[in-house]
Amino acid sequence: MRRISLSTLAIALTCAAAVAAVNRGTWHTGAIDGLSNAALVERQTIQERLAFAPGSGAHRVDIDNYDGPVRVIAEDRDDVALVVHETVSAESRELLAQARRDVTLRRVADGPTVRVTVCGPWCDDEKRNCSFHGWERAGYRVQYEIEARVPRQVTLLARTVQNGDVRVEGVRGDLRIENVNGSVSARGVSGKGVFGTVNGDLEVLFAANPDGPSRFSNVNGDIDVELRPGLAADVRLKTLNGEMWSDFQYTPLPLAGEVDRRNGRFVYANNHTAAVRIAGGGPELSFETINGEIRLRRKDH
Amino acid sequence: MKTTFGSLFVLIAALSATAARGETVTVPLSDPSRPAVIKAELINGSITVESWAGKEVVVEAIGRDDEDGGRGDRRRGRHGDDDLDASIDHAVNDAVRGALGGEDDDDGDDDARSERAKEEKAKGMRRIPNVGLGLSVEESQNVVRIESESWRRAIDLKIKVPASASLKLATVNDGDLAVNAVGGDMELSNTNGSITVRAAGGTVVANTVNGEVSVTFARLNAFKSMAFSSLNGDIDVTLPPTINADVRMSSDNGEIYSDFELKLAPRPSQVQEQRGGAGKFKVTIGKEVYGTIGAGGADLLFKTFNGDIYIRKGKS
Repeated sequence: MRRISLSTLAIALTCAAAVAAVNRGTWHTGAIDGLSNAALVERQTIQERLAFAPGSGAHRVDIDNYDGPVRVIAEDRDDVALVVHETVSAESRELLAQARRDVTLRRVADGPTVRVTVCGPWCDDEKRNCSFHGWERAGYRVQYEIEARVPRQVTLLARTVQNGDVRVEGVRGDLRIENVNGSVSARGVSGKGVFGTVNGDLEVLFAANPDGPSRFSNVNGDIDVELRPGLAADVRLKTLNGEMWSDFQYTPLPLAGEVDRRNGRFVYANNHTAAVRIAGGGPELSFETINGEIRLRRKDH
Repeated sequence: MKTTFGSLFVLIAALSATAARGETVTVPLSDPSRPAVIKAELINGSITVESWAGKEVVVEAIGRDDEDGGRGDRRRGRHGDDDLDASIDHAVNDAVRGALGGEDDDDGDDDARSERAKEEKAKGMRRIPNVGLGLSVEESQNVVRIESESWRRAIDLKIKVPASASLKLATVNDGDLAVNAVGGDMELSNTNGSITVRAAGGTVVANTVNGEVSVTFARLNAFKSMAFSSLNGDIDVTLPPTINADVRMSSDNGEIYSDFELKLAPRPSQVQEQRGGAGKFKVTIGKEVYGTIGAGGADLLFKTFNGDIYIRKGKS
């Protein structure tokens, strides 16, 4: 009995490892915005430490990716440790060289701020004519898998667009965690912030309840937010195709619409589907999705 | 005395409950000296329009109760007071599936499976009822557009307008259209419900599919063509006694009644040529009855399939 279970475990582990390896190997051939006939692939790993200027005050970290996942882990440290796997694929040597010229991973430590930005033809920061119509048209593709270890207390931006999830663990501060085609998962976070995706699941597990207004948005996917006992908040919710659920006791609040006057027009709109107060009320938490459920969970321990 | 207090309490509770589920918007007109045009459209619910002495348009929207009666205390899962409901739902679903020859639950289609997964995720949680009315009201150059994006829940609109306003109202399900003492022209469209107009002062075009059309006029100085039609329902119209009009009436499975001295006119037959193989042509005698009231004038159409038609002479 015991032997069998051990060998099963071994098989399971081998499978898991194989899957992981396959995932790593095929990571660049996502369904979205793919490059179908890449002849050349170059890979490298960048490891770097970026320091905040000493005594520069509240720290800020921006991780702004485009194609690939982002993972941010809070640790007892006072700099940012970066591990980035870069994959460049191209249809020819010329295009590979072009890819290297066009797409860069900018790493900047500027006073209290550390910025890691993937910059490609879509970054028009020099105000030249820029046109980016996807990798397929460019004939090359550059992807980054970014992992950043940051201090526990930072103002954080963590973002990607496609082919990867955004995962944040344990950060405390003012947070902006966003994705477009993929999920967002923030665990053990605290502070306040903006959390959103368009196509994917959104999960935010708070270690301590939000201390300021926070927004959770999705379009095609659920919103799961785990909060702590003793929560006091004013909650506004909207979903078009889905239900809304709460572990917390609540009292309904009147839904107020907004009047807007522009160009001699009077426009009144009230689009929210529910507003509730939890305990005595507090920071405004707003939840909005179109096709998905909204769940406010209570985590007791 | 006790009863009085009791009922007073109930009344107050009911009022505050309504207040929580409704909202009122007061819309100032760009030019209050000119007549307003009100365009209101719903999918589920009633629209009631009344004239008032004010210069603004006041829109009151009230949402009907949610599926769970707006209690908002329904819970999902196997623990909690409302378990019974949930387990009965499950039992019924399972029984239905069994009766339909379905296999195991787990082999159900993807929809059922994702529904189950959703239920599992919200187990034991309180449902927050959807109380949104999705109301939007827009005014531009005296035209007021009123809409609701709520398609799952019925919304009732009560609109107060200056008496000179004209109206374009439409709803589809779960509601009636009612207009009282409005002087402008109106176009009213319903599908599954009635249309009632009292003390109209302008031209009325009213059409529904399943429901009665009932219209009375206060006065009618000059009017253009009007039409009153339904598929399954009576048409009951009270016209000013001094009216002059040409009328067309048709009820396939009903009778036509009138107080007026209707002078019936010969019905024009319709010739349909069928350019078929045999080169036949066909003469169809329409089911419509033609007539004139007074000296004749603008066209009035009264039409239903299953229902009677009443054309009444009002008091002068």
